[in-house]
Amino acid sequence: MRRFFRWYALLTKRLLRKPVFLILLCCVPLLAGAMALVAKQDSAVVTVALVCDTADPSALRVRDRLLHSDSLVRCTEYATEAEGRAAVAQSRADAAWILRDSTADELQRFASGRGTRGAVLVVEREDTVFLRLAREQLAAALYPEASMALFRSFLIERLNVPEDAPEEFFDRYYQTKIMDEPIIVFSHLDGSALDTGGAEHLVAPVRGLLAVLLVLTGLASAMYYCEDARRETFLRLPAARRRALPLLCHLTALLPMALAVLLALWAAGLLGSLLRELGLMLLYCLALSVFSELVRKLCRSQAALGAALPVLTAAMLALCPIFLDLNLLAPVRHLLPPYYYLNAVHSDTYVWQLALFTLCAAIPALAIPGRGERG
Amino acid sequence: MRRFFVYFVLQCKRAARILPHTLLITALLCAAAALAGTLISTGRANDEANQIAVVAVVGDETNPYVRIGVDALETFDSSREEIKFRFMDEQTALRELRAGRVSAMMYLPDDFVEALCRGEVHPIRFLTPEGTAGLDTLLSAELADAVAKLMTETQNAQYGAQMYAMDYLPEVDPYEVDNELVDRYFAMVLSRHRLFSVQTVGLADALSFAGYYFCGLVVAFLLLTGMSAVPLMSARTAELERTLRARGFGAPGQVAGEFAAYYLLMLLLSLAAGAAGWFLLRRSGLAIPELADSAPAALVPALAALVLCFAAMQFFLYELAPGALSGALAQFLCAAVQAYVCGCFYPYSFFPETLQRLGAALPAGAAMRYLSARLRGTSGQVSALLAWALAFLLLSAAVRAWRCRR
Repeated sequence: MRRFFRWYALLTKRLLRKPVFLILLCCVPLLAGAMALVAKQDSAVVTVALVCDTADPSALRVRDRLLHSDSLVRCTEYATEAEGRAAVAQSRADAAWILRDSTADELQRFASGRGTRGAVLVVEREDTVFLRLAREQLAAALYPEASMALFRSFLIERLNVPEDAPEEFFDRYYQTKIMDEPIIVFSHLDGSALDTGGAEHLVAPVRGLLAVLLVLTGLASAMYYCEDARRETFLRLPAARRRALPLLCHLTALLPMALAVLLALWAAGLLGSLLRELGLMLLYCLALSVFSELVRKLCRSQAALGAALPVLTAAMLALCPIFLDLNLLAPVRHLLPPYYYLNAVHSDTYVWQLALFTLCAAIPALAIPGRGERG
Repeated sequence: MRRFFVYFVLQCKRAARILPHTLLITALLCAAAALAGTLISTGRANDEANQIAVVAVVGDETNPYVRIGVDALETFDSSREEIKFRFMDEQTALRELRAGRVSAMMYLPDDFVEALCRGEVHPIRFLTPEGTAGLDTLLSAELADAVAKLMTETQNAQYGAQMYAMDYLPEVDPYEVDNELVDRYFAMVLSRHRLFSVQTVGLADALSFAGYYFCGLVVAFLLLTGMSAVPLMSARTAELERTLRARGFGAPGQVAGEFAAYYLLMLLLSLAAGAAGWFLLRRSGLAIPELADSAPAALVPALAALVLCFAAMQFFLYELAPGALSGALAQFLCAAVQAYVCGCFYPYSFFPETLQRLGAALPAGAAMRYLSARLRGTSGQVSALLAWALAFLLLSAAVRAWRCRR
């Protein structure tokens, strides 16, 4: 055991004596922290040019709702329709929402089920899912006006309220029981509140990117070992001990980077329960150590391993739940360690799957004999 | 000059040793990416497993009001294709949520509707896994929030009508009034798209969504290919560099010769990958409007300029971090940060203005702008890319000279 720790210390010292490696370790938490800081600023998924060139009271109320709404849609006010259209044409806005002069009339016609040209003219370059969701927020901003119009019509037509009854009369009944409690409450499974108006989506991929960085650390360590093997650095070691040596080498590179990653997660505000994160990270490092050794044995040369780096990186970025979880090419996803790690953060099932993955990868990684390393 | 040429040929021979592996695997990568893109665009609309977000709904499916509410969510324009709502029991929903197979869960209390009729709110709980919410979860929450606002207004009207009927029309059954009013409101909810009219003006000078992501994919790919040269670049030794300098072949000549070979290598890789990707793209039928009428050869000069800029950046990083481990990590960190901040993954308009300005100033940001301009048919500003390339090469020569003097 003492010999194991001595070798571990020597290999780690060899690595940490390289200033560039130390600088890179320091950069990781700094970049993550900077990302988290910047993400606190105002951002939006959809930017809308809002035009309200009218004194229509309904239009003014809708405008106020949109400008003060806390959602993923950011409305920027423009003075005229021409300016709004220009903003769309020049890609300064994703869409222009132009409130008509006859907003109140159009809403009345809509509420009565009559033909209407719409209270708002929406100008877009193309239809996308983000713009469809933004239009849903627009509908939610227009709906109170339409709802009031329908309520008024219903009271007049069905409940015989005189048409010339003052607006205050309708308002009083419409506000009989204001639903001041939210109908939908947003939260996480553990009861903590879900912030729907913030920029969490900007920081969310950071954990995934750090997981990929750890994979690359392991693979780069595998390439480094290829050089060592070519130089016969560890020739003095007995052959039996040399079999497990690559795994130790990969671990010596992974553990310092894992520490940097944990610091980065803390800086980005993504670190959960410390004990769980430490345990999961240790298991992930073991999995990566084994995975890197397996890839090294399969690639058979440093050139092939180097060529595989961009392939594996792109596959991990596309298939693992980092930006979107598209559930594509499931058999390929199950070969990538970050898939298990990222899901294991909140699911014990995936912790076991990661452990199983480590075991399954360890068998061929140790069993496949290594060839003389060629550069 | 002769020494430079000899050195350049030697470097080309070194680069050729890794070329076969890199060429083959990079071409495979491009083909796989084009295939994945095809799967995303053609398979997702009909395959529930490929929704951007699936939301589990836990509640009494037989309750007509609950059913109508969920139908209202599902008739949200055509977002059935991107966000899907599925009824399931609570245990299954929790299991699916923890396993990551659904993005979120909506839990409707059993007496939700009856409580509302009594004037009480037993809120619907919209649950997501612990941790930071991704874009898919936030989009689902945004939709649910918008629908909640509609439900709130409908309830206000419902109570108001009931109270009026009780105050002034005691002979009228308030529940009959309520039912009639609710019917009208549901009809209004389901036709809420008529609240506005949509005018699609076309792309004009702007890029389509698919065109934007084509640019993002190309830039991200070019950033990542630098890692494939780690075996080549990490095999250099400082002793050889000092020896060459002592023999009169200084840092500028060495850097020029090595970079020329590196640039050729990267250009060949990019052309091979581009050809493979283009071929599959055409076969797949994936529609990128900007590329509909253009020949692939039209993009080759743009590709050459992009590769020049990125190759210079990667070369400079290899000068700073010459080892295998540090080299690979530096390449990835630089590639990932730039690809993210410059809008290769999320559109850059998603980011705060500070990050947008930073992204625009980086080499990848300049590359995105240039490629976007070329896709739109304009000449674009290649000077920014050339300036970055020159700056990186000068810095590389400076670092090499410093290392030779140590």
